[in-house]
Amino acid sequence: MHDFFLPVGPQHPALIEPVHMKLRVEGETVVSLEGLELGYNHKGIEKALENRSWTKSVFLSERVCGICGNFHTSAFTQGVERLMGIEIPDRAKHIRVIVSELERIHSHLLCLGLVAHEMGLDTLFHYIFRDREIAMDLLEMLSGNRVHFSMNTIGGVRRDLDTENIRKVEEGLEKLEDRLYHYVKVFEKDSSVKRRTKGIGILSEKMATEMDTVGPCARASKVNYDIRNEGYLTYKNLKFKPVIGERGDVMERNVVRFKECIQSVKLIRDSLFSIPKGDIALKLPMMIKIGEGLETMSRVEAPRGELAYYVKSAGDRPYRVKIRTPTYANFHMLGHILKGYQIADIPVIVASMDPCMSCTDRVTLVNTKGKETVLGKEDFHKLNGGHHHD
Amino acid sequence: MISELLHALVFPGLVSAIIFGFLYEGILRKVTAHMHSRIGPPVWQPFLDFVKLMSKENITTKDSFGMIMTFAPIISFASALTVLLFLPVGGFSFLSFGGDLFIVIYMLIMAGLFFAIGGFATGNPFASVGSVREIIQIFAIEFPFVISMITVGLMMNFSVSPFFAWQFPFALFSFLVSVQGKLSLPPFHIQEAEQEIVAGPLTEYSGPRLAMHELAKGVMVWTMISMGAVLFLGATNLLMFAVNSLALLFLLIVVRTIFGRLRIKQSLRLLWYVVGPLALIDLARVLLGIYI
Amino acid sequence: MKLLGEALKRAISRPVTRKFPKEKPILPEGFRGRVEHNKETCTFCMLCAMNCPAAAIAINREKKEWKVDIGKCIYCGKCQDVCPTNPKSVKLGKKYENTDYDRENLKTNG
Repeated sequence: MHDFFLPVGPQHPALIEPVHMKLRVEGETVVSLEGLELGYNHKGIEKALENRSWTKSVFLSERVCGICGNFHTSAFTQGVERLMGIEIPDRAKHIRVIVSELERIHSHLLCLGLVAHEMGLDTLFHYIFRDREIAMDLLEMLSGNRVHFSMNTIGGVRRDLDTENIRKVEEGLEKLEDRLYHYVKVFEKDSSVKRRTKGIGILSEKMATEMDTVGPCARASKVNYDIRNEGYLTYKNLKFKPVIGERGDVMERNVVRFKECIQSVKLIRDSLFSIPKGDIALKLPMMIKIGEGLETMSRVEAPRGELAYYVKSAGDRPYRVKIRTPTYANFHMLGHILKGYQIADIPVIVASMDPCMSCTDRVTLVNTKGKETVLGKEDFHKLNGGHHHD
Repeated sequence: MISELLHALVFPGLVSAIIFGFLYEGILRKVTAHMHSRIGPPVWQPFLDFVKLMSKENITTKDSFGMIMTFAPIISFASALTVLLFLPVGGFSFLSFGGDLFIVIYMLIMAGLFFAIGGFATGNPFASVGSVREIIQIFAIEFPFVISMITVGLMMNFSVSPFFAWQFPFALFSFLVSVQGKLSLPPFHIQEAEQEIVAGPLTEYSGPRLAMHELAKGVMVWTMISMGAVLFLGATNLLMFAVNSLALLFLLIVVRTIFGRLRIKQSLRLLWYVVGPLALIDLARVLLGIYI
Repeated sequence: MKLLGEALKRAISRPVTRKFPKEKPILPEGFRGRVEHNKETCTFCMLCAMNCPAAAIAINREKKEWKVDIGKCIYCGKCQDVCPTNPKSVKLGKKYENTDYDRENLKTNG
């Protein structure tokens, strides 16, 4: 059959954000992903971070992404705190976990709503987005804003929560949990959903490992890779166990996301229950100074997977900040999960990967001449504060 | 003569087809919105869309055939309208002769076919994928649709007249499924899948041409629902007609709300392997005379 | 078919969306809206201007002038945090419709 190139994007109704995919198509079947162009959203944030003081950088790093901004500040502040050699108060840790997990819920629900929308099932899309509002409202109540919560600061968090907040969060979670269980049933049992997602976009465990897939995509393919396993913040005390899926198709990825939301609800509940009294932030000088040349690698588990910040200090400001977002890692496997499926499956598969261009397009790749430094696994472990985990 | 002209131009013909077509579409959107727990557009929104589009300009791209783009929606509008002339809505019809059922079937194919041709004429890759899908859809839907039509047709000597198909549940079912398909409502909105192929055949359309397409779609809603109300639910007077068509409309809305889009192969498989054979059962019953 | 029950239930209940300009949302306590400045209590200490991550605040100490560019403001609330006066001279209010046809109109005295 005659094959041709199907351009998907940069502007395409299935994609909320600009990315260009060049697909070779035979009839209605995708043969291969020939080209992937990123960088339509380049904002130059990494460079901009280099001429701001540490405290101001936190606000900028939050603006990398509108969906998982809090995770960016978590990773960044965690790195900076490690450079300064300080430990944030326990209460701050708990609040960070609560906000992070609420944000994970709303991010996952966004993705799942979009998957439903790509299947042409707008009803489910509207229902999921309505229930996402519960999480959004709770976050607005806790932080004062629907997006860009600005909760994290170096040395702790900026807002405390009182008993009234805790009561409201618990109420909201109750409502949310019911709905999440309902959706798991819908996504696992509904014939209309099953027909479009079961056995589509299969990512094998081997491929997931080889392509360094992260986040729910990896976990849906049986790969136990979750940074929360390392027990940063309070995850160690919460006895965190990642949700692992079996089949690695679109349906499994969706179900894993829902189950992670349910798990997040439980994590938040436990955190609210065990939240200690005390300060929410350390008293730090207005101008933070860190020894020049110190560097670290800080990782957190964002909704889409492992988010890594490399931070090097230039005294009163970062010398270099390199952000490695989960979507960037996941793009490697995109070609493999599209291959052999129909044109009609492209939106569903791409949406199930949950790409976030805004995160990914911070950097444009420029050819550099000169010395090349390659960081190995050992170097990363050293930078990661000596935590040896695989 | 005058009364015949009135039938053709006012009720159930041109004017009422446009008004009720758009009104039904408005209701469709409004009730769907409420099922989504949204407020939704006002019921007269399709009229506003139409008026707005008529006041805009046509854009003809380099690769497209302007002539075909202009006439394709008009022809599909006209063929949907022609069907109405044969329908005895509320007990009277403008044109009626033995065997006019087949004209109805062909006219309905025409409407879909010219929708696809209009897509091909634009030269847009998304439109051509959409048009191919539309052709496949016609191919898929026609089987259960024609079988169910023939089933009731056999009962009334192939002339379009009110008939209540309560003893043929399978024919009724396959007719309802094919109505959903002919109106390209979920789960059969494959040719206009915005997430996959932008707007399908309508990708390059703008201005009055798009307005004509919208009009054709509106009239198609009215035509198909009227057909169901008369041919399968046996509406002999206006009141019955109104009740039947509103019930059908509600059924369409419920189905469109709870189902997602099928893939083109799944749609073909469903219509040919499941719905079509079911319709055949009733056809066989009519031919063998096994019914009450 | 799992959605049927809910769809029918939703069809007769009140929609959750609101007609925005007519019906305003209820804002939570501590909502971060437009910056408000109180000229009476302000000491013009420059702390807010120095700490603003977006450099949206400009202060002229001699003329006792305090200016904020809402077009630049990122609503983070840092100015409120660092304000040393009691009660706070700079704080984020509840106004959220902060758009204008002209950027110049967004530069206000708070």
